Amino acid sequence: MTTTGEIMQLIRLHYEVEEVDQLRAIFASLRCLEYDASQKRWVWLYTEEARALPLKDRRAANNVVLGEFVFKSAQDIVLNLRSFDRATHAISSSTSTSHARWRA
Amino acid sequence: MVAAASLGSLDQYFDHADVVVKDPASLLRDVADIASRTPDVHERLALLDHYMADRLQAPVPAMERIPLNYYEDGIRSVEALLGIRTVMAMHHWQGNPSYTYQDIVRDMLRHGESPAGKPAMMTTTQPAMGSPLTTQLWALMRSEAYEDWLRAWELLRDHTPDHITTFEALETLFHLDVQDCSVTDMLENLDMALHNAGIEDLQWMARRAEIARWVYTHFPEESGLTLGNFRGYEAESLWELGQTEQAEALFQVLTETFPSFAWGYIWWGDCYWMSDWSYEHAPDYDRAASLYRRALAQPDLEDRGDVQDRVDALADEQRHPAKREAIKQARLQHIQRRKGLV
Repeated sequence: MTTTGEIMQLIRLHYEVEEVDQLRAIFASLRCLEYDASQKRWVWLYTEEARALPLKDRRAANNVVLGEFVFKSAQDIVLNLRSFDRATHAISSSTSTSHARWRA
Repeated sequence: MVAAASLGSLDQYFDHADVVVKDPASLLRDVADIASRTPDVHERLALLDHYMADRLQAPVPAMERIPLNYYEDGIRSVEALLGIRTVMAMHHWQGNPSYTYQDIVRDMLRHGESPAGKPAMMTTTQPAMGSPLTTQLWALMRSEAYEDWLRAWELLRDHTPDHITTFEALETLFHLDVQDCSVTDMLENLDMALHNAGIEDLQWMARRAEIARWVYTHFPEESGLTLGNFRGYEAESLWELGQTEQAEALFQVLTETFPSFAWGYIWWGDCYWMSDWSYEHAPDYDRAASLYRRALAQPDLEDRGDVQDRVDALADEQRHPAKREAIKQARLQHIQRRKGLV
């Protein structure tokens, strides 16, 4: 099980992004995303905006990593996650509206 | 910001795993090819049946790459794709590695539901009570569009008797449970969607406040978490609408009613330094900090760590004002573009 209570099943979402710089700016403005320079990734933390997600065990700590964004090339970005639930939340949150739940 | 937990990156794992690429288009090509082999319809069907059986019986790869059609088919199509793989994984984990997609289909047809006890994904259940209202609610609640959820809420609002005071009773009344339609999930998702839409257009924020009030005034026997959440949603919405005095009063009642509910204090405090209002006017860090301290003074406070994190984040922002300035310009531009109430 993951620390937020879902069955652990690794999943990677692939994104093709046209405006990478704009995306980086949005990442920087979100409080639930933090750049991890040591591993060259943006970690999606269970804190701030992400606290509103209806994950199964909401007692998990704020520094739990829900996922990691890795910039693979100029336009290719992947999001690695440890559960399918997190993946569907990520898809819904990041694409349902321009702002999604992650309050910039 | 909090320091990330030290779990290692999954990147290397994915980069080096043996991935089987699934191409749905190949299925169509194969079917077309098989269909062209014989003019006899019965022979065609027999060949196709044999072909599909072979595909379904094929061993399941540990890692596969599949296309998602979220934009075309919505999140439920993604959930269905992933859900069937969760069922498969559970069987393999329980010591049945030869379990295939054919077994899943067989079990679903036999039991009318998936082996893991999840709702049927390929079969449809007949309504236990096929009234037009119930059928309409099923369709609206299962939709991907928040406008449909809004319509479902209006129907629920207009048809819920006063004696119904829990979501569970509401679901039973309208046979929503038969179709796995969760009122909690729909209202939480609707709140999220209206919050997002409200960022662009304040009319949606006003609807959000209205729905939140309906929830906590009509379902008083719901859990403290649900009541606290929706009271908070209303207060937060009113704050966004500029009705800060009303929001203050609601937050006051919320924290007095549920003194151990940390999020009441957190959302209240956040208004003073994280909301659009705080960017339009000025952050009031002292007020926010005093609300967080009020929370921490509660001996039985839930989610104490979340409040402490807010305190830390607030102190961090005060130490680094340039970071706020960088965000401020974007926020102010967005506020200018936002549609107001008519």
